[in-house]
Amino acid sequence: MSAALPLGMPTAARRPRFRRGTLTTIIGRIALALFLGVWMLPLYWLVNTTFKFKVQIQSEMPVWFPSPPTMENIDWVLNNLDHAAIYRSIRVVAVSVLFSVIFGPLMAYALSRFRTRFNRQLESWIISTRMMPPAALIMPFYFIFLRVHLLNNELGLMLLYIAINLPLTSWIMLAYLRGLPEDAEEAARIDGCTRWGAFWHIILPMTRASIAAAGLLVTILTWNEFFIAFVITSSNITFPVQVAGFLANGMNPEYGHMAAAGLLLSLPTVLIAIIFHRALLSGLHAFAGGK
Amino acid sequence: MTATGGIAIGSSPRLAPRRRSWLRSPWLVPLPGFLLLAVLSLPPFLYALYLSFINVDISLPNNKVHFVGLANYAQVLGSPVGQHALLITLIVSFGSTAAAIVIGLVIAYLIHLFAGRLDGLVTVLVLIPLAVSPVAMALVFSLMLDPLYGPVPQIVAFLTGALIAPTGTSLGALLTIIFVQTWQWSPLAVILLLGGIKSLPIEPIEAAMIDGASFWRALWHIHLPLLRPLLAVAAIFEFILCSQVFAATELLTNGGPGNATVDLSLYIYKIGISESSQVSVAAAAGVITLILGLISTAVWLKVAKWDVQVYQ
Repeated sequence: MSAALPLGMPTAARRPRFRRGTLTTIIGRIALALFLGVWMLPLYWLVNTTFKFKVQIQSEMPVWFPSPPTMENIDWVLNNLDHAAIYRSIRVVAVSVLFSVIFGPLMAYALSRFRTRFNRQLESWIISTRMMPPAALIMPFYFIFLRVHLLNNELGLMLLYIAINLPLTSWIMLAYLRGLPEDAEEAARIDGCTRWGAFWHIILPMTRASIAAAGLLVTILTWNEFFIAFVITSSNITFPVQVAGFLANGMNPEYGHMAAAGLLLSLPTVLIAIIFHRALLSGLHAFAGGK
Repeated sequence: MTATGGIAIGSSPRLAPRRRSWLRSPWLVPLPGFLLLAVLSLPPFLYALYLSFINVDISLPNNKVHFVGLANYAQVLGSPVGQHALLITLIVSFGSTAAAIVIGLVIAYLIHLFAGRLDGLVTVLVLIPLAVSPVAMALVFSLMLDPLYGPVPQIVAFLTGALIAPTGTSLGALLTIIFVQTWQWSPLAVILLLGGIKSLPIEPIEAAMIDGASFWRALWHIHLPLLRPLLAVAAIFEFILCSQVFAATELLTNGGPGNATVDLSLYIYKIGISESSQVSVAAAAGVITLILGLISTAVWLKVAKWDVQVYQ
């Protein structure tokens, strides 16, 4: 059992295996399990609290299993949440992600294939706009939006989310496109394809998975975005801002309701991350290492 | 805007010897994207600069607006509150980056060496905090750290008899923020480093072990130097992400106790929007934040290139 270590790797077969003692292996696995236990504890506590009665939440010692589990917190949250906020979140995410997923690859293709003197600077500028802390430009946005009536407005939110998603999708697509040989496109061009014809017929089919990976990543980040929505909306709020409202510091906080709301908020993105983990992993690698 | 326009006109004369009008430039297709980005980044940036050099204060509408030079910057960098906010931003960013890299390295090696057949499943579990909303995260931690009902104080009280309120003290609140940031972003470090570790050759370690070195010593002296470029990328990338706190400081500690966890983002929000309306001071703090962000992004872009050269 101790020798089977790098099984997940494609190259495992030709690599000699470490010789480690059984004891080392056991200690290592226990350490890993402990780490994972601590790692998952906050999330477990969210689920655990969601299904507990108030008596169990307010017990003197931690209650590790909700027995019997209750649905009353979830019911309460579903009945008392403003559903408009959830729909608004969905609309804002859908529009901004769609725009970024369409224009990100186009921009990346132009930057990687149509060489000019400024491509490098353009790339740096694009990714810099994404990596800025949103607080840096929130004051000017607040006042510009105040003047043009985009404050507390869904459209304003969509615009800002496009501004932070578009750089990310184009950056990730740039990383993928750099790794792609240009031979096929050149062949298509010689056969009379236009530049964008080559993109449509050659590049798009090859990069569908990468585009999906970029799209998933920005979906998760946009759904979770809090700062911008919190500052520029007051009544037309998004789902995270609404859930944040449950955290109001009272004397007797309703932790069960808070947990249920937090669980409902996190569930979609966590499920996306679990189901599409492969795409997400490749997207994250491209994001961080994207030359 | 001018930059994109310039490119549209001058696009690759080499590949297209025929002189074309700019209307037929291939840059026209992605142009809406570039334009939107330009409109949403350049004017706000210039406006922020403008605001930071004048004296706008919404609560004083009769105030004459005039150029004040660097007075707003002096107020941010010269006042105890502003200095403290900058310090907190730096402490949180450096603290959680360091923690994320150490944890990332340890977990990546544990997965690589010991996860065996389960490494796919373990990687998915490790990935999850990345997808959890920062709001939900602030919420969970307020559940877990509640002085009365939270499991963490309860367990501490059970083990040591001491009653603690982690977010009630300056140090505790700061550590909580660092912990939250680390938990959110260290999955990225694990994933990046695990990818690097898997691509490293094992033979030099075997050779060193045959020569009598212990496994861990061989790992330390042979693998770690090879991982250095990737560690640099992961570290600076983590730094950029970890420096962007808001949900935790606003919702979990509300900047407190006192202003112990007010970082630059929360400072901007409080001084410009929620607690007072010194717009110009907030804009100046924003420009300082922007400069910090630009520096770290520039370092990241340099280091990421360096990494690629090493690995090919």
